[in-house]
Amino acid sequence: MRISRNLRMCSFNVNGRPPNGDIEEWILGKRVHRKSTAKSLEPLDDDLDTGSQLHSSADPESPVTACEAEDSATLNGSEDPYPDMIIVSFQEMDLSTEGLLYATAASASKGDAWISAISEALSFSEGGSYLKIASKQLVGLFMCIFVKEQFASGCRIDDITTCAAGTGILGVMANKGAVAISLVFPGTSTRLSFINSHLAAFDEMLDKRNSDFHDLSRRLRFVDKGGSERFVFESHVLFWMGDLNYRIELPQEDVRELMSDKSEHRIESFRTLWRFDQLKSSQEKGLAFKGFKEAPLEFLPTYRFASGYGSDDLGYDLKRRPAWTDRILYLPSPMTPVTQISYESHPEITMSDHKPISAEFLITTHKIHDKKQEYVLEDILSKIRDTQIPEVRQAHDDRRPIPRLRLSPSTIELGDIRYQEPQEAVLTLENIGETACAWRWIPKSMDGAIVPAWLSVAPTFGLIPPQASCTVHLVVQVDYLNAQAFNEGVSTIDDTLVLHVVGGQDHFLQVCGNYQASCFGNSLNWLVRLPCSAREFSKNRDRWELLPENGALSCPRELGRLLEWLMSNAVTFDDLFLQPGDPQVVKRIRENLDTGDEFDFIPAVDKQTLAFAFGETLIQLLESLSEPLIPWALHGDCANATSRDMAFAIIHEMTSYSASSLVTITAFLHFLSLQPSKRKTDRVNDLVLKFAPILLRDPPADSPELLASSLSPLQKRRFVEYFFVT
Amino acid sequence: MSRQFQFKLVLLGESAVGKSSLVLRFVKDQFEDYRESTIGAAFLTQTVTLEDQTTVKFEIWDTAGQERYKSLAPMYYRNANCAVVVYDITQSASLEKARNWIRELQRQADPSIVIALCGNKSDLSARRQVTQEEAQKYAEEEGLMWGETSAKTGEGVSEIFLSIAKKLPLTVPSAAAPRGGASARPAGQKGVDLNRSTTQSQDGCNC
Repeated sequence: MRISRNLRMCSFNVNGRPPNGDIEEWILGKRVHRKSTAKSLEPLDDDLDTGSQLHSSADPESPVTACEAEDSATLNGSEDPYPDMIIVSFQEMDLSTEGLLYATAASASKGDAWISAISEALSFSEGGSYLKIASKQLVGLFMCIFVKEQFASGCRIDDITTCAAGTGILGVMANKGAVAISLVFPGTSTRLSFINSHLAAFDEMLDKRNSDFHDLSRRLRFVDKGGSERFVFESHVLFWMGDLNYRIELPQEDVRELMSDKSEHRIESFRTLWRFDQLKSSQEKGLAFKGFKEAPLEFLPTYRFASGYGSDDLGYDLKRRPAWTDRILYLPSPMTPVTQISYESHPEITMSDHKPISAEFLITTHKIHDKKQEYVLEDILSKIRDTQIPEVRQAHDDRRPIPRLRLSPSTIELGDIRYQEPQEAVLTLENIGETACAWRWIPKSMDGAIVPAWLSVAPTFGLIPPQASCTVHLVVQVDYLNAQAFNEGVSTIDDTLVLHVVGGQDHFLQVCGNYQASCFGNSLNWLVRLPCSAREFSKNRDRWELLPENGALSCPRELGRLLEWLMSNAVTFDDLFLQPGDPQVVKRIRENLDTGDEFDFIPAVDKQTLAFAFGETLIQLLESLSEPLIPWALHGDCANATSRDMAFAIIHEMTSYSASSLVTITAFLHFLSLQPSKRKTDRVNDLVLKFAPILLRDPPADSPELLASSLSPLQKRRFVEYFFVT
Repeated sequence: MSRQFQFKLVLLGESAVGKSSLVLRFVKDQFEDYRESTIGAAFLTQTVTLEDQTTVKFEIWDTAGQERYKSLAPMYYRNANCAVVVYDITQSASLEKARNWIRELQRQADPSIVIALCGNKSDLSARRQVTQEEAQKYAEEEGLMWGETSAKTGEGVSEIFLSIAKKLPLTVPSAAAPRGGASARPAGQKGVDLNRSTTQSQDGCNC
């Protein structure tokens, strides 16, 4: 039986401050408030840990009851909106000198003070009371878990384990580090782990933060009652939160300007800031928190606040670059779907130099009725672990029957594939052997990926009991990152995947499709040398040749067509380019551009929808270029331009088609900005905001030599503004 | 010290009358027998030096003549200081089109715009359909500059751009004039001395 559970994570760097003021919104979320009672359950309290790495399981003397009583309300779609489990993490709870080295009685009492403050906040819940089931402290790091009363009795104490590790001074001191708690959600088989960490501080300590992450991933281990060790990653869902201390890699004034954006583009400004966030870029580069997910940051940075003369208009410390130091991430597994339903900060709480944050999640799991079933699952899980250790597998090989898998279909034929139109296929894996079959996709070469860039598969591994089957979803998507080679006819949609069967025979699966060439996802140079439409060119390669360099078009045909249409039909729409286009209409326009056919429209579409779709298509076409209209090599010069004349001097460095395309587009935007408008905001500003990041798009993350000259968001806007001066 | 001015020049006219060829001759002194028709507009610059050492830099917007791109023209001729409207002397219909462009410019463009009517392909005078007298008379009535050119031989090309440069208002703007390039001034105001603008642009308003 599938059930879902609501988990709420709360994290706060309290800067040594004791509880003060209302915290119920942070603990319970912005829900209805009403007084009720909260109890505190003491026996599961963890002893205070001192210093470096420690792990402990919860008190074995506590009552253990595997209870199957469930609150029917929470089972059937829940009428009670309050979280089923609340996990609260603190950093810097104790800043005393001794606290940096070892735990003191004072730090324990600070923990108690916060527990009572949380209990008081929990009493605002209208949905029954909460009980504390676990806590863990490592000096200033403190984490505690509360569950709804009806689940507390279902908690198996054997299933709750905790551990901690220090990464501070000398790599072991406890001023920095992590505490962790792992448990099986009461009444289910889902193992959840929570980590509260405080990583290395300061802007320039990025590498140390990333290495702290790897250090903690390795050293945090849960030891259960039987003495067996489990890494934190051996969980169905792992939540990682705390003061991770990652900063924003942008000049201080840019950060503050983007933060103070109160316009309708506020979220866009946050996105811009987020792109320069060290944690996000570390994730993208695979340096830390690889595979972890995080919801978009749509709240203001949570650090560092000051008061009085030392602070800016928003209350941030003038001497420090504001940053999203406080974060909540999670690592899901294929078996346990996780949906994030909120991610926010709580600026109303002002006691610390940080703001508290919270995030809420829904996890989908299975209710377990039978203890026997639980043991069977445990048994299967241990078998998976066994099969992944070669020696163990070897020892069993002689005795075990060989796993056998059947794939249907045996070849994946995807038909016509168009740019940015995902095509899905389903593969069925059927276990036709007598033993459970563990399988996974493996790369064809040691250093390769399991699938090419245009393909994604899910799941990537699994275990199928005998006579059972599972389905794998394959999605082909050609987008701007990989379209160029297909458009130019250099490669085709055709690849062979390798499915590895543990202890059995590998299978080879051919995936192929018929790509329909597009004008999207190409270099500008190729577009201006196309003698005809991209589709016609690819279909009749023997008939056509690219135009010579000196006979190239002044501007891509498709760009000319879009602008011509917009100029004739769309200049009266105030929100052109500022409102998204209908994806179906955009698709239709794109197809017409690709084939070179006249625009034909879905009859029921109104003029405004059509105008926005054309605007969107133009933006997507520009975004899909392999290099932005202003080539990367000139971005350094753009940063230094301080007048229109200097900006136009840079244009003369460009190829004639880049220059003509750029001035044609900016001439149109400028023309548009001068049309009468009912918009409340400045149209020039809005258009610059939209187009600056497109015309001066950053180079890809894997080209450091180009990245060196990339512009800050404000430098981009300043440069593009020169084209709005006549 | 020489003075520098910068002006925006737009080329208009029917498809295939030789606008791009005229620009190519003027900017690069080249000619190609076959050219792809222009899409949208091509952007080029060229500087001419007058006898008194004044230099005039043209920002040239060579527009597409094809009917389908006609709607784009206003975004190019708006704020242009000068326009060259081109017709083909071997196609009388192209002069009709030129008249339409001139009427549109007189109605829609900056009132101070300098307009030159230019009869191209003078090397093909054997197939002439538009007489010099007819075109010149029309130009005089409308107060336009007029000349015949051959982009192929180069005849008359630099002359027409040079005479436009001389006709443009080459007076030093007052110190209070806004900075930041020739066309940052209000409509109708005189050209901007670029030497002045570069020395003062540091503290000037960049608008």
